[in-house]
Amino acid sequence: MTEPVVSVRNLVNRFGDQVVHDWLDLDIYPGEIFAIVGGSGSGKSVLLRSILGLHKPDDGSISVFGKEIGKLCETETHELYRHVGVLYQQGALFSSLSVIENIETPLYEYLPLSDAIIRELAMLKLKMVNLPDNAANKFPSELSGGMVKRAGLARALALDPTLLFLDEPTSGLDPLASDAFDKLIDVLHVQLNLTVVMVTHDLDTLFNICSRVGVIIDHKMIQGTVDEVTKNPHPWIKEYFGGPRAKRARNSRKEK
Amino acid sequence: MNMKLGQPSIETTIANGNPVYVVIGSWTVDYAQDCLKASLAIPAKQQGQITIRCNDIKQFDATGIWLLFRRIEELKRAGVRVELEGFRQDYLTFLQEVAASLEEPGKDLAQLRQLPKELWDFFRRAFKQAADVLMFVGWCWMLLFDAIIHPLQFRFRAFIKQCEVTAVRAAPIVGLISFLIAIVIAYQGSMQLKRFGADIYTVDLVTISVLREMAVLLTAIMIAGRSGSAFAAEIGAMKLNEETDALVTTGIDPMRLLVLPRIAALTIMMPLLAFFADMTGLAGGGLLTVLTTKTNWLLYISRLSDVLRMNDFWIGVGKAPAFGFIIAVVGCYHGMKVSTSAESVGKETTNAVVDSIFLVILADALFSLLFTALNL
Repeated sequence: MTEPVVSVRNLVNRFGDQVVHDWLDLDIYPGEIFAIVGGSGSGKSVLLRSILGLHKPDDGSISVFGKEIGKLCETETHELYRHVGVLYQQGALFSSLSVIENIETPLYEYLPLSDAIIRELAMLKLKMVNLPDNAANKFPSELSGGMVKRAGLARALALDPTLLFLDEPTSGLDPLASDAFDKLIDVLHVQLNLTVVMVTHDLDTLFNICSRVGVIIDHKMIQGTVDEVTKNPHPWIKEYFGGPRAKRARNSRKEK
Repeated sequence: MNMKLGQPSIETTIANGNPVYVVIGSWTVDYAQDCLKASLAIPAKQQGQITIRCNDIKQFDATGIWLLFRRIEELKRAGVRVELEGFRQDYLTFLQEVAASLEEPGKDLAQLRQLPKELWDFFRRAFKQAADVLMFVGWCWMLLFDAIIHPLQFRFRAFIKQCEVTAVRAAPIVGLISFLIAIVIAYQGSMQLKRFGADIYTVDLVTISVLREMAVLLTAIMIAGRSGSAFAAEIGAMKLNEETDALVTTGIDPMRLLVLPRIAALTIMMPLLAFFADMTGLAGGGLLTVLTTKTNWLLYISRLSDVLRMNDFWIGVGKAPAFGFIIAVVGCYHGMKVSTSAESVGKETTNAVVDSIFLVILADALFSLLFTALNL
């Protein structure tokens, strides 16, 4: 068995009286596309933020690449973020920088290369996510929703990370754009040898490209392949994966 | 994390009389600088055909492969015939596309700044902004009259809230500043006047300067910094968050809900704040006069009632609504001008404070001219 890339043990998160996670365990292995699902308020985003070290959990341990988050010194954290790419839900592009400058930001932070080469590498990433050339000098406010997501993905991929986090990558996109984005992630996942962790509500994404799923239920996580999880008798899972939308999404996968 | 499989490098051998370059090691972002250095191992000045063998690359990613590819392109441009072995064709096609798009000149990079055009743009923008501001002020006046005619449509609740936030909560700091400045004026004044034995005239100095100018001007500057900026930032953030759009589609005019109550609140509350500043200013002046000269409180008050002309008081307080109006209009105008980015919120907030303080002082100068002409 290979070492997990992300490993969460006994995670506990509370906000006041409200318990979000109660002894939650999670393992994500290299090369997977892992989807985190759950009802709204079940703590998907908190889990993601905990893994990324943006939120300090109340208890438990989280390891990424075998290193425990929260016990790293500054240089180790810096080194860790170098191998992690994150696409935020709203893109989180720096609004005062153009798209190309957004992609260049992490490159300048980590690579001691000349301006010209950094510009070339940024253009390479821009092309990788299928953005048109003229998007380079546009500002985030001038982009459509789909383009913001692509630009955010390009920035996340700037340093060729091995671990990519996506927070609701297809939310706010029309079905065509969602399909295109799913395909893009699938292709990049194979080409770049990525491990992808995503929070998603999109059942099409779930059935089409995800290799394993983790469902947050009752503050804990039920994980397994899509088919395994679908068979779980828990009422929420039955409703979620047995509803008309899920059936449609699954049928469309079979057609492919 | 990428396993480190050794430095990237290029080894040279000869096959059939032509040089063969064997690319080895891991060409990844971890070794970005080494990749760049290693790629230069292939000399650019050579004749004939060369072979670059990539079969033995242990590990690569997009950054590393680009650093190799850009050297290959350079060689091709220099006229070297390059044969590639073990380079995936689909990657090559993609990288060539990227290279092609890089060659198109970046428009805004190459564009030289043209002075006449810039100057023309500057004046056109300034003119357009002046027209915008006039439109906005006119619109505010219309809404104010409309509110007087139809008082029921006026947002009283927002108005009361703004009165509290902008004036009542500002009163302590406004009063304190006026108090302290009056002490400074009284102290400096009494030091000079003592030399002529005329220190009783300190009372005249403090009373007239505080009532006519200092109290109201300091209040206006304080409120511009406190509320003018808050108006711009609040309304700006709402615009950014599309809340103003949501108001419009809910059938609520953001001008009526957000702008009008703020303008009304500041216009009405400024004279009250100025009055409060007058009182604390006179108290501060009195305190220092009593402490440093041979006067006592009784003498100070009797002197005050001789010196104090209601004209001075009314001139000071009378300017206050105009200042309040200016600050509120400028703050709201800049807030409504916020467009798309978080940066513009900061920019417009700064502009709101700078513009409103400038306009307040300009208006004060005009008032001075006016009152001098009227012999008040």
